[in-house]
Amino acid sequence: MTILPALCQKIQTELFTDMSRIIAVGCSFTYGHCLHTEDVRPVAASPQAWPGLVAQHFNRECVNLSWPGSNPRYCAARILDFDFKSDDVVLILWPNIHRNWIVTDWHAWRERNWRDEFHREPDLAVGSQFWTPVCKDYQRWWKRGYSNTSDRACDAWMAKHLVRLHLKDLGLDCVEYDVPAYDLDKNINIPDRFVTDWITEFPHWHTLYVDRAQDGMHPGFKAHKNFAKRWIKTIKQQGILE
Amino acid sequence: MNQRLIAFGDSSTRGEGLADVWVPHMKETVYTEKRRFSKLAWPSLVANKLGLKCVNLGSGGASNREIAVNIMNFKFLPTDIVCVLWTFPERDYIYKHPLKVRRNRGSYKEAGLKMSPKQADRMGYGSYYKDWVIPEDRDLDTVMFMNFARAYVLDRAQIYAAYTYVDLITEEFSLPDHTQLIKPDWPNIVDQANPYDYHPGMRTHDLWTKEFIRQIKRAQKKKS
Repeated sequence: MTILPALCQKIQTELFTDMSRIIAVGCSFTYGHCLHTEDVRPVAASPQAWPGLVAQHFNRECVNLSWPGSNPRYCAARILDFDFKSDDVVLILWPNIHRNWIVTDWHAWRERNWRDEFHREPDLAVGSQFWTPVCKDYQRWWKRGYSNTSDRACDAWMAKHLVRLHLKDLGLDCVEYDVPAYDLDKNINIPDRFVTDWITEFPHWHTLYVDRAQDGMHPGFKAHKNFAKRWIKTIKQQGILE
Repeated sequence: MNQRLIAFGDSSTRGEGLADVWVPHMKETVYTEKRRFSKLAWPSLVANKLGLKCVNLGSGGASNREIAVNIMNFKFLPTDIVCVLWTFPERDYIYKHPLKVRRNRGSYKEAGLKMSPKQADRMGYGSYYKDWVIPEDRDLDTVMFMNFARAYVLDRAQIYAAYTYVDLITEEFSLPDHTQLIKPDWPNIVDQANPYDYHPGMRTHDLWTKEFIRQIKRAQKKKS
């Protein structure tokens, strides 16, 4: 089951290497987590996740930099680390702020050879820890006072601002949305100064989220198609691509 | 109104240990309402040389994250000249830590918890450095904050000049072109503030002043 996304990525890589690109960043909702398998261990971003479908529509190569469990800091690090071309279009579905990402084993990342036939570059996600509120590590870290909602909001705000300014410096087109707040954080108040008014929640998220992936949680194939249609509509409305 | 020089950094920017804020019989630095920072520190020296009003927002024990948070909390004017002297990458900061929310001076009202490996065990957050961070992670953060600060300030103020007086911890990262190691850097400071305080002394501040003025003049020339 895990061969399929890698094979699709190989085909995409071989056919579209010199084409213009769509660069997508986000978390498991962007990655296409568990679309093809119940196994939660990430192997490769699915080409049938919404970034791949958007790229297919515009006849562009898809570079999906997302990773399940990632947070805004990871997304910012990915973007700063990336070698953009002048005609890249960047799509960001910003993850929930209640996440943490730490690099835990830099040498594992650097030394492990991910430059195989399916992947182009070593993945920043290797040798990292991704924490979500359900993880015991996250809960322990929170209980010890090593973060709080304001601190997470501050972290996310800085990451989003950095990306915005970085892409503006590079002159690249970017479309950004936030993943809508989960039920568990609907009552949490983000301090006003950390509100990023240039980014809105993904529109009609719950209406478009029509089916589930193999884990019973993440979006399924139809949901990703719906999300892709919405992204395509926004890209066209903003005059970025036709 | 005088054009302003806004300085960000840690205690070395604030001028800890220098003669005008050092109280010899107490053997410590004391800041007052009227003397919130040392006028012998590099920000005041730079401001005096350039005929600017000095706003020194150096904060003792600040980490690079705290410096970045202070920058983003500040209301810049389009004419401001902003100088940043970054610090030890291993330090960290938790914004609005529940134990540390209090009124603070300047434009920021919520304080945060300042963290450093040296104080970790004594202050009760030893597990933070043992379990959750590695040096590369701190370096990654530092480089991101340096890039963030520059982009953020240039969007709002006139000139941005930055150095760090402590190099990155690991060789995995390198300092951005816009923020290099100042001379003299931390291990090579030429003098101490006084025999009881390890902070940089007047000669070091003079040398730092020259570096900042050079960078500001270069930026001004580029703009014109």
